[in-house]
Amino acid sequence: MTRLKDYPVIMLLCWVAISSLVSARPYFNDQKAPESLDDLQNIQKAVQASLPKARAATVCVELKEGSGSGVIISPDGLVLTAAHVSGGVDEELTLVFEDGKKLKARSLGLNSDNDAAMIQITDPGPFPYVDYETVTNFELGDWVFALGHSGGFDKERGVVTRVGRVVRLSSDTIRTDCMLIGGDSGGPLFNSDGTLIAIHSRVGMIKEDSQHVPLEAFERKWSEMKASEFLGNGPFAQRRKPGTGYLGVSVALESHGERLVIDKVGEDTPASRAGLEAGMALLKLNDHTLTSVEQFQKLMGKMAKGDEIRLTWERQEEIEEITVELEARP
Amino acid sequence: MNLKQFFVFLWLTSHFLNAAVVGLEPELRRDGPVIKKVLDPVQKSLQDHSAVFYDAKTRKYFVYGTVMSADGLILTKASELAKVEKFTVRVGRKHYRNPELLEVDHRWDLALVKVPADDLKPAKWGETEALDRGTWVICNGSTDRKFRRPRIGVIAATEREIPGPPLVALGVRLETKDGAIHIGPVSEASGAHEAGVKEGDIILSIDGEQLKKHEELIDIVKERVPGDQIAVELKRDDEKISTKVELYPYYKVYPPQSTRNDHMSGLISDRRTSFPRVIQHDIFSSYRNMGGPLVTLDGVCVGMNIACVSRVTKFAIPAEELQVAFEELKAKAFNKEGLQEEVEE
Repeated sequence: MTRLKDYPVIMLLCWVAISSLVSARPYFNDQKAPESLDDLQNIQKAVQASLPKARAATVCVELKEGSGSGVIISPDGLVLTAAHVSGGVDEELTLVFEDGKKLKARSLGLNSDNDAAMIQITDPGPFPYVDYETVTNFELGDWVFALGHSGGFDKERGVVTRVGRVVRLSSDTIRTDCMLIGGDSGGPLFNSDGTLIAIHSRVGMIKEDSQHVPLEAFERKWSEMKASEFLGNGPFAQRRKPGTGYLGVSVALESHGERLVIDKVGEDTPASRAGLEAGMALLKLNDHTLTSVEQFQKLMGKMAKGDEIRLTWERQEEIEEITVELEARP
Repeated sequence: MNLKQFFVFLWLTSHFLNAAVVGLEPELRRDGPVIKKVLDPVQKSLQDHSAVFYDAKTRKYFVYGTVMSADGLILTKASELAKVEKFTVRVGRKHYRNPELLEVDHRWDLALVKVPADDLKPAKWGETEALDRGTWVICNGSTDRKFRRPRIGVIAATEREIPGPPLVALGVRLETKDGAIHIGPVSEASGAHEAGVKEGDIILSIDGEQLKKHEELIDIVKERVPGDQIAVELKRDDEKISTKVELYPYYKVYPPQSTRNDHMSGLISDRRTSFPRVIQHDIFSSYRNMGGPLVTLDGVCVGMNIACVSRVTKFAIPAEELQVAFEELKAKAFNKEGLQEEVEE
């Protein structure tokens, strides 16, 4: 139990803590707007002092079509990005550092409602990382800088920098006048001290506006996302729906054996495009040895559109493993 | 208020603040009028060193220029200048009705223009090597008769070469079959189409020379600039045809496929690739804001805007390279007959 006479001490400590936070804010953030060229110079100085560390932790996220960005926030390689970049849970991804070095990674959870997502680098660390703040400790008009691999990775160009102000605040989105474009999504927004405060999400209705997911929105579902959960039913990612994956073959058990043989291949299906033909024996689906029609159908029933499956087929003693991307059932 | 009440109060207010949506007044934005006021000392530099190019027909400004000498030499973006038949130029408040186009450097997409003046204030050039990301830069935003209005942004990326296709394209697909060069599909927006070259024609000679493989022709075209002509001798059925084909800019013959990022970007420059070296900045602009000087907070010119590539990407020719290109253009222009004396007067 705290005694009454301790209250002044506690209040004093609180005051010291709060005022130290306030005084840590650079003075130009408390100005309505810069009042002189010196004020602008000081914003530039602060941003440029923060840039090397921020750039080192910013990565390009390679995707099947196009690319996004992300930022490393721990030495063991936890990456924050946008849900519409990572796209799903537990997917293999490749990240690229500004110098071109590539790393293997795996998507963790995401929040399809507000575009927050996490990725874990699976290659061994340690990695360069940035500090972050999960409490919204910034205000309207604060000077910020945005980094990202705008329009895709370009080694000669490097990470692209933009400087702007916070122009709108709400609990799930912050807006700045830093300009974003495709490829920037998932990239980091920093305050002028180089502390990560948000992740780029999308371009606003007004041309000069960009929208970012504040770290506070990450914090609310931090452990769920770290545990690879797919959260929400929002517009930023499509939930994987088992039973929607379509290959386009029918199979039967070989009349005089135990092998599964392709009976028919549908025209213009993932199977036909992957070169599967009637008469081929299917030996394995991913790591499962195929033994019956029922087992094959049960395994396929768990698949979703967009899944990549590995099939091992055999014909006249020729054995090959192929990868097929499943489509939506027609 | 006891401690519990204090924390409840804190919790309530923070909750309230979180839920409320609040916006910054538009005039306080990075590009708003309040910050532009602070840029007054830099505006002077823009005012002195910028030229505004007007279409003589519509009287609207279509591109900017950079003042390179007191005696009226101005550089601008060549591919924008080529869009109008006749142009006029304003420097400061003065309007020059009969500027003269002296010379073009297609590699940099630069045009050298002269106006009759002797008291212009040429740009003071700085070095671009020390221009790190995050350095404030200012260029022309919009203009009226008296004032050039500034816009501000930052250096956004590493200074570098921008690769791209050759400057011109013949506009035909080529194939070497049985020792002869056959013409495939002809692009409609090409000089070849204009000259009547047709699919199925066989090339007998180019500029009087017989070629063995179509790769040789591609190598010839690679070295040429927009407006150059090549003499082509063709065989069509049993007929021999001689014609001259003008080489059009590559981006006109094969316009790049518009990407999603292009759609997001608004008015971007047609010629936006193939530059020997550029600095990149993020100033909000369109193809019309190109051609003018790029200055730092101390009013020193560090480059000349040359391409609006996307909403986030703008290129400027670095000061060092621009001065070399200017000297080359000047030498080329003054070697032309008659001009030498006129300028030395």
